[in-house]
Amino acid sequence: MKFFLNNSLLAQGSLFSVFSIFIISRSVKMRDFGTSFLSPGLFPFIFGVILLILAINLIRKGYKEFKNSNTISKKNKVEMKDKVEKEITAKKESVAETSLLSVFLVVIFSISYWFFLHIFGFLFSSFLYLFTFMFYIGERRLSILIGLSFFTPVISYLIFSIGLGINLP
Amino acid sequence: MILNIIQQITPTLIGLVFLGAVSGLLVGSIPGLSVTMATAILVTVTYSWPIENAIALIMGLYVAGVFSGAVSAILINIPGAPAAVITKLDGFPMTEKGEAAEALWIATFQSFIGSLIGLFLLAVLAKPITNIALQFSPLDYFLIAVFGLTAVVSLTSQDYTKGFISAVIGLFLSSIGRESIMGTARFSFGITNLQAGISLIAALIGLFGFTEILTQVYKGSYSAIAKKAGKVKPDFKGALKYLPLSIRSSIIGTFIGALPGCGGPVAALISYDSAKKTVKKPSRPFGKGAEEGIVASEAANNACVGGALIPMLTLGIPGDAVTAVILAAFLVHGVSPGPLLFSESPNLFYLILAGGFVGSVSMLILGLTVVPRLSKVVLIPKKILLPIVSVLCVIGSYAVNNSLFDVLVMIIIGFIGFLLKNNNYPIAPIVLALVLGDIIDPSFRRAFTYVPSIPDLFLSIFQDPISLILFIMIVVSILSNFNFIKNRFIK
Repeated sequence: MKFFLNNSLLAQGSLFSVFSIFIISRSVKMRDFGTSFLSPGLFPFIFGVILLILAINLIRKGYKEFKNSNTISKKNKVEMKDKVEKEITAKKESVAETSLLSVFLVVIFSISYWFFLHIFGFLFSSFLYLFTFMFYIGERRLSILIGLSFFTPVISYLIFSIGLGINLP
Repeated sequence: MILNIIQQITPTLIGLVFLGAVSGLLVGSIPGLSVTMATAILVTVTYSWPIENAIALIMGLYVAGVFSGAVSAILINIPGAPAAVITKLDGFPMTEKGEAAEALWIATFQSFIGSLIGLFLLAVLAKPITNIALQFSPLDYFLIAVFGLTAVVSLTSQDYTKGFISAVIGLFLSSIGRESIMGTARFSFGITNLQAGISLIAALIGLFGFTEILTQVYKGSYSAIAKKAGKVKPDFKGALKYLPLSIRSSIIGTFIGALPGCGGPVAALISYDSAKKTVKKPSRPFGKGAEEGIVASEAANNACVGGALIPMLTLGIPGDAVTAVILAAFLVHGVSPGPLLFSESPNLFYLILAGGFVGSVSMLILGLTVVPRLSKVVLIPKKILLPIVSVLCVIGSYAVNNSLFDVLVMIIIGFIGFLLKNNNYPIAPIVLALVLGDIIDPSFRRAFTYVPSIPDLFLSIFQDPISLILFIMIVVSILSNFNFIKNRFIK
């Protein structure tokens, strides 16, 4: 497991090979219509096989990287120690600036927004979404939070729904 | 032809093109908001309009949007669009030297020249290319679509494997739903909404809009950089001294743009490289504020507008991501671009040219009047901008089919796009494969119906000169990515 987690190419290659096997297995089950040339499964089968080859290539590259990193660390342990420490510090700094959790939360906000659109409609759901999103990414001025959360959906509604005749949820 | 183009220029067209140009200028100059995304949203806004009005608005946005990426590239060193990546190499050093106004003027004028030359070449070359395209068999369509994919993969990604994986993901997305020949549902998992396939617009907004929002959130940088441009001082005499370079760069831009899958960034890069090799005495060294660098980059990436429209209009194959969205706009309005466009709807071709020319003039006017004030728009903090843009993404993806399912598709595809982008998988091949998948699959299967067996299909490639040329182009495009070939022939 550690072997896979330490090497993103290996993990990505494995994921894509599972995905390609899924595509291939689904495509061979599609109806044939007498001639395999016209089968709706032919095209997915071909790109499924291509994906499998590419995924294997990723795994090969990942394995090569893994092997190289092991060889280097055995040869130059002292030199590498400084380098690794520097890399860890740089990574820590970059982690402070970036956050995968924030991305997940924004996706959850967005899916909740989609869910609320079914129940409350565009205006109220958009107000909630904008307020939450802006607050989460650091806007603290109440006038901006309430003003933009209120006026953006209202103006959008006036422009799109009334002005351009586009239905909104 | 000139008369036909002039006939299309009505007060409505001028008004709509100008409105589109204003939108393009605003969107293109804000990093993170792409012209592709704005065009995709516009398609949804205009889908109930007459196609003439929709195309006018989109052309204005396209022409001005490609140019406006240079504004933030010059002012704050962040390209508003990928095509402006090269412009910033010399544009920002000029700003640092207190010459932002001059840099903006050069970018505006050269973009204008580039757009005009690109559109002129589109007008001249589109019909001859169409005559060749009319001789295309299903096999040729299959081959040219495959060439489009291989070209975009090799030019947009440093890692060929990852680029191709992106393309295959796009092909998978395009194969979801009922296929066009037998009507069999593929990969729909019994979900009724998926049987109609993935909405192209929802996927585009997801991949360009929502992916960008998530990327900005991931970076956690929500502030804006404050810099002002001053006032643009038009110096036509000074700008005309670069005319030979701008014509050459525009021709490079048009031809690169005409290759399916290539776009402004590639054209700007090749043109910049060519200028660097041929201009013996630049105003300053390249990369340190050379005016010639901005000329080469801007003339080339704007000439791409005309170039990218050539394969889209003549073959139905988008030249870049924006033309993929314009292609979707045509399809939404029930018009199929391709060789028959010129016989079935010739006015649309003239309308596009008229829209492009009016758009170029609008861009020049806006470049002289609005651009200096645009620095204030660029200053809007992202913590305000991102939530508003995400609501626009939701509206855009919903509006095409009045379907909340498409909104969910947009969010999911946007998230997948973010994961791929952050692992260095290029996004452009996914989009082009999504569009080209609808050509590749039926053309491939139709090509099979003409021959009794697989070897015969392969042999037929060598019996038809068009197929053979396309096949060689594919082989060269693939082989050029292998290191041993690069080392032996390219370097």
